[in-house]
Amino acid sequence: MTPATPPNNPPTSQQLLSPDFMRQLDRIDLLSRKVLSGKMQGERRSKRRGRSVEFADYRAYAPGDDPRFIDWNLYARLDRLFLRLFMEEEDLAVSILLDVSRSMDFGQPNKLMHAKCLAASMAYLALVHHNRVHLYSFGQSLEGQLPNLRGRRPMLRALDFLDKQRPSGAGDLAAAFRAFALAQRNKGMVIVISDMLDKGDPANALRYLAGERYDTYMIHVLSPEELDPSRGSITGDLRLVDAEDAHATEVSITPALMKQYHANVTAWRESTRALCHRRGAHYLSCDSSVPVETVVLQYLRRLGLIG
Amino acid sequence: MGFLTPTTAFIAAGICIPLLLAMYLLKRRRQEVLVSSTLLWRKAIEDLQVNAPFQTLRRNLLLLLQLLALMALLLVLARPTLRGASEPGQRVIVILDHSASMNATDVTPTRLDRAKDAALALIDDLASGPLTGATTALSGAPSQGGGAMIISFAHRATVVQPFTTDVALLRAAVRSVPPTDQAGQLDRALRLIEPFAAQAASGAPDPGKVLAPLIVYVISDAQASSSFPILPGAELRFVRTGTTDAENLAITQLAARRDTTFTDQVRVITKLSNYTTHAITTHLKVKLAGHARMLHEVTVPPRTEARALDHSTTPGTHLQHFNVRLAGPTILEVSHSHADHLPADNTAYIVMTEPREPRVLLISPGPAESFLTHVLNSAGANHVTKLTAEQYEARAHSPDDPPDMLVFVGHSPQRTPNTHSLYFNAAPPIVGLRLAPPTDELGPQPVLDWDRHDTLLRHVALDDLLIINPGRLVLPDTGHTLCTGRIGPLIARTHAETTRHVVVAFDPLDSNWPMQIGFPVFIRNILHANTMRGSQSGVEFRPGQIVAVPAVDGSDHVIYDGPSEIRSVRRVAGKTSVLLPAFRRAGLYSTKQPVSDSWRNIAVNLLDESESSLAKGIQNVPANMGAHHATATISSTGAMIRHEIWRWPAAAALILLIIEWLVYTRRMHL
Repeated sequence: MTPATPPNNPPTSQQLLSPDFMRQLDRIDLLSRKVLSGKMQGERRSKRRGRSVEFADYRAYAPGDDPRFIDWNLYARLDRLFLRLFMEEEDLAVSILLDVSRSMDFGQPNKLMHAKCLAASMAYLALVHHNRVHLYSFGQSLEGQLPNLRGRRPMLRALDFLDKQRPSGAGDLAAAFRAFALAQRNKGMVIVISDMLDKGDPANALRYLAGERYDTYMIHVLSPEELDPSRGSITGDLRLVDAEDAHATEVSITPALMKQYHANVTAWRESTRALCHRRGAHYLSCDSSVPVETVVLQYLRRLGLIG
Repeated sequence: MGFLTPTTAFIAAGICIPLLLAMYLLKRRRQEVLVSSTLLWRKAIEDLQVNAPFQTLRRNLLLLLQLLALMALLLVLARPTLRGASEPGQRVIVILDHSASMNATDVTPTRLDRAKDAALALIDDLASGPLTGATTALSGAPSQGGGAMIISFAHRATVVQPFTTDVALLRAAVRSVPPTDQAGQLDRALRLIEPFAAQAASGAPDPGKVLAPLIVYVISDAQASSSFPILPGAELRFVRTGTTDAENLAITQLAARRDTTFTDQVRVITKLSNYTTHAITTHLKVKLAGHARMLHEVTVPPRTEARALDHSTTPGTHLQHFNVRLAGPTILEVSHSHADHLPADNTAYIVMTEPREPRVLLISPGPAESFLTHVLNSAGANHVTKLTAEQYEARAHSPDDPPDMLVFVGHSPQRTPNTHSLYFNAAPPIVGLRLAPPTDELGPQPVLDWDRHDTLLRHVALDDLLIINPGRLVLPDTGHTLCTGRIGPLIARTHAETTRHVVVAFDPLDSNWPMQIGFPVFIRNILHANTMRGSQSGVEFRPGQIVAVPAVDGSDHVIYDGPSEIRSVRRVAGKTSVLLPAFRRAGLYSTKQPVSDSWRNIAVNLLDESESSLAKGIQNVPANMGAHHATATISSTGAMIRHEIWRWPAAAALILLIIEWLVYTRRMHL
């Protein structure tokens, strides 16, 4: 079986994000379970004290403070001056990391295409709600980036960026995540869309996304053929060649081997899920044959990423 | 199991097995398939090998099946055979015993039936082996290319079916072998096949033709008497039927003789022989002309377990004497009422004829005349007419009243007499028969062997007979040697048309025979056999014996009805008697045709101790069978020869290949 080849025509913006779907996305928003500070005022609650109408806390009056925020009721009771503090409304930094390693260019439907659609929908969702969006593509490291997108207007640039991403080389999650962590020091939401087919230690990679700084969402994309190779022409005595490093493995496909493969795939996904949870990340495994709309509107909703 | 071509199989194995293994060891070209990642595949393979140790075996299942199929095919190349030592293309002779003892019912239905089953089973085995290899037999040379022959023997040996590869003919021949009450003479059957054995021993007469070896199967109950001749070129295999615990109480002797003075008084002597291990008490019934006249209760002791040199046991015997009053001819029947495994010897008959003394013509120019006259008188021939040789040759024999027997001493007649004759140091002018005078002065010559079972030598012991200068006797094909010495036959019997002629190659006065009791017994036996009128004794015959019946004018056929057969023979015009074919079964035969009263009934009795002894075991097989001979016991379905079984491993190879294909395709299609 030969892997899916990139379509002759590069995906258009409508292929990545249809107008109907965009209208559906207008009604939902990204949710972050972690309250993360943003640089600019957005639609996000921030832990920083600001000038919103939402009461946050009291502070003793110091000479020079704005006397309009003195709580006179409290002065009457305590005979001391206190200032009322309010929540600051900040924007959410959403970093979308798209895996463009060669292993992503596989499957029917193509995983990379599916991932691009997911990335486009996440980017749109973040941009329409005045969040800051950073787009990254990674393989062995960060391959491409389009940072600091804000508002609806840069959506086309985002789509164009995603369109131009091509599969390249082998993947190295650890190197990519490390490079990202160095590039994006601000707190925010991180959405990783990858097949996780990394020959390195995923735990080592995820530690760069762990901690309070990031609210990480791992979207694990696999193709139907990877989930169930019997759907393709994987049968008989074969020499399987790795798309990323050209490593060859000779196999004789037997029912026992296939059964073991299925068990391993399931176990791998579970272990990845457990690993993500231990690292404080959210995990979603999806099949590239599942429509993007379903993934976003149902799976991610159940995951708590959107609401 | 053996193999016909093991070398071929080994060579093929040396080539094919390493080739098959090399095909597995060498890396095979596999189809390349590009996958996103081999990470999960490698993990699955590793886990499979760790968690399922038998997967290695599963992986090699195809190799195992292919090896098994290859081994089965190699086995086919080796041409495996099963049991026995016959090879395809061999010639086989089956000698089937149908003597009296083969009618024993210790095995159901009879020993002969079981022997026939064994012969048929042998033919079936031959059909899948030797016969199919005898391709040259189809072109008309079965004796050189293979095939089987069926010979039956009792008193005589008969080729029932010459060499053929036609299984149907062989089976029909086996089935056609009739039961008889005759005594078995295996040596006659073996002499019949001597030419084939000699041919096999000497090789094929024509260069370029390969003569198949000869295997002879003798299917018998080991009752056959006489010593086995060694047959160079033939491999003898003795297959025994019957059991060693058969029970039989037999009438082994019956004699009746009229008193010479009171001719209406007949003294009867009968002997019962018990071949079982326990005493038997039974009733001995005597009938005269079908009417019961006497009933004697007799107790016959059991056989003794002491073994004779021929491993036979001595039966318990009881002699019963009684007198009956018989004025004229009648039929005397003696029987016992004990049920045993061989009914044929439970009853015996004697035909008592009109008391009439036999008339003998003695032609003796020498001093033996008076001596022989005395012996003839003592044997019961009181009417002895003496003639000189010249008188005899000039005598015009009256056809109306020929003598009963002629005795020639030292004079060979110019023409063969039409009467039964006895010759001392003389011989009739029969073609092929010649008595030459001794060429050298020989000292006293002993007797080497004699036919103890012949009626003429019954109760005649020749151990101590010494002969001075016996003549050299040459016999024709129809002649039968009764006694043999160092220089050849000493006493022989031959036939000329309907007459019997007994030739003794010496003058009795040139031997010590007249001094022995056997000589008058010999004379009496000949007189009794030749006169056929019993004179003072009852007349009875043995199965297998040829009976000459005086012909009656006006009758073209002589037909006798018997208990189991009807014999008919055409009377030869101008002859005074007819020869009946040998009776097969014992019993009383009678005719309604106008024959003389003496020949209206013919008694045929078994009266053979050898045939009545059913319990002789396999030890009875003579020890001089030779190193090439072997014995075997019949099993009901056992195959006695080796035949190829390549079809089975070929079928197994085909099945294995099908299984291998199924396993392979199942692996390919998940």
